[in-house]
Amino acid sequence: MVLNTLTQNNIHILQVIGDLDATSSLILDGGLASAIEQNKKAIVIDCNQMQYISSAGLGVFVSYLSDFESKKIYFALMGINDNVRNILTILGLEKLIKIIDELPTIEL
Amino acid sequence: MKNLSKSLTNYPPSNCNFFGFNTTCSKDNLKEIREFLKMNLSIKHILDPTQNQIITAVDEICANSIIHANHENENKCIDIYLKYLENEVEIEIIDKGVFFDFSVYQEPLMQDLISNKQKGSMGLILVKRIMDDIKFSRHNDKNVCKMTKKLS
Repeated sequence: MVLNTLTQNNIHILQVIGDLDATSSLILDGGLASAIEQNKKAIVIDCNQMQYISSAGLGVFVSYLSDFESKKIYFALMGINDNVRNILTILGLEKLIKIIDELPTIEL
Repeated sequence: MKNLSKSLTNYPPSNCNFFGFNTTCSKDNLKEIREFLKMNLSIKHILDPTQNQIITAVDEICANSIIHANHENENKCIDIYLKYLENEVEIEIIDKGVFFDFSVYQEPLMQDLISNKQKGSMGLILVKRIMDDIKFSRHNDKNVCKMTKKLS
């Protein structure tokens, strides 16, 4: 898995390329921790090139949900495929994590 | 030589109902396990979302086995067997690590995982919701996780 970081429309974007599993989730964890430490106010995970997600990847998102809420950070998953959506739905996470198709405009 | 390459091209044969895969206890091998499953579920025309659900459930059990039961010891092995029965697929995952006692497992609440900022504990929730039957047992020095998924 490759994790690219970029900024667009005032949004800190973490682009995941490949599978997000028990091995690669550690890389994403580092990327999210760093974004929060840098006081980013809008974080989007670009999943357009993410083929697979396991509970380890989902666990990274879940572990930061309370931080996103307390620090008022906008957080969303963008461009998830049908399989990833299905796994999120099985866990009920589609109700807890914002899912978007394209980058919104964020006023900071 | 020609015959050999022909037989490899046709591997696995579509009338085969039993597939096995063996690898060492490294997290880096999880992708290979998923690829083994994808190939052998595809030839039986088990398509998404069922295919991805089965792959996810097996990936979760294998990750637990590699990380928790075998402490990522690459001198240890994990075996995965995929068997097609009449209207279901059966998967066995076998290792020689620390036994997991599924009978005492209690499913955590999602709200508690969020409050406690937990990164783990969702794998078995997924497995339980995806598969129709899951059994963990110990035979001599081997742990066997047997799971089935009904095919519609």
